[in-house]
Amino acid sequence: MGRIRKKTGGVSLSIDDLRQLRQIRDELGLVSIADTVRTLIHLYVELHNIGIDPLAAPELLKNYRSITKKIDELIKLVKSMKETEAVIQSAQE
Amino acid sequence: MRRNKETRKDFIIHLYGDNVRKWVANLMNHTGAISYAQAIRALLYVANRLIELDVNPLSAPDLIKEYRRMQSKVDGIAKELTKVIEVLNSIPKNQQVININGETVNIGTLADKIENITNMIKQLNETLTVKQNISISVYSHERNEIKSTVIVLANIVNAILSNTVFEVERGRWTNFDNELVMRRDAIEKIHKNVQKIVSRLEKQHNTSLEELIPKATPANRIWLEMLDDASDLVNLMLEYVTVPPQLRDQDLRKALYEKMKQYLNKYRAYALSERK
Repeated sequence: MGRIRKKTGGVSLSIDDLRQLRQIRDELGLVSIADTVRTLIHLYVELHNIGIDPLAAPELLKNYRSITKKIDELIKLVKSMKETEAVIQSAQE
Repeated sequence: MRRNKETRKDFIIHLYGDNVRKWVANLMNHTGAISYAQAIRALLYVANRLIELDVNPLSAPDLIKEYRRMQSKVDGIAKELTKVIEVLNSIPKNQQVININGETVNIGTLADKIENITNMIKQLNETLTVKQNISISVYSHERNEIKSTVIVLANIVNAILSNTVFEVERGRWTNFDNELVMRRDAIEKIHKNVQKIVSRLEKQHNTSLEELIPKATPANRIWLEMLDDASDLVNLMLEYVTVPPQLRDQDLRKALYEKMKQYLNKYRAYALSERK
């Protein structure tokens, strides 16, 4: 007796969708279109679970990236200030 | 879906497993997609955008987590700087000008500069928090719905107030009640439309509309505020017209009248726009 697989409905996609799915499959190094769709669904679930709207994720990452440089500069600035503070304190002593 | 050369439906994939179906349905609900195919297309869009940004879609969740950690680091910097300012300010005034390696340093000025940087960091942190909330979106069909609701509601309020203001200002409320009750069907319809959008947003973000407003981007905030104003007023109007006349409270009546006046002041332009 073969295993009974529960079919949950087919999804009709266009040729353009298929082309995009193939590109993403190759990009992610996956082996099949079904795997690619499953991976994307998994991505949606993961983003959803960490409280991020999956549709907004690209924009969010783009914004974060632009802010990263500023934060790095601030970290450097704080370090040098701490050094100055130490110098001032030792000068006072 | 329309059949044409570009969108020919000649490729079908089958998804197995209850969870997969559940999540695709969830995604449909979330994006406002009306079919599985549209939901999958939303995922394709996200993946393509991430690839364009040179981000591996699979590492996106980790990257976001990392950025969140960075945000807490920024918080830490702000705290450190506040401590530095405290230390510098605690130095007696007469010792505030010191000489370090032949250079004169004014500690008071230094403390001011650090304070400015601390404020900058705080602002940056606020920006980061807002950016996390950019995902609150009001769909175009919902915007149209909100706009037409605001127009209809403003016209109803305008008509009621124009017909009754003279009597109400003299303490006679009968006509005010009648004008509202005769529009009960319209009020119920507006209430239903408004509630549909409000519940979609509240369900999606698992928080109340009031809490969502400050988190939205300015472009979306305008729509959410309009929705909130309409929702507040129409809830009160519905409550008023559905209670039996003998149970209508005078305080509620006055509160409703004031709220209607405020609403009309804010959205008068909409009431007039439809008359044209």
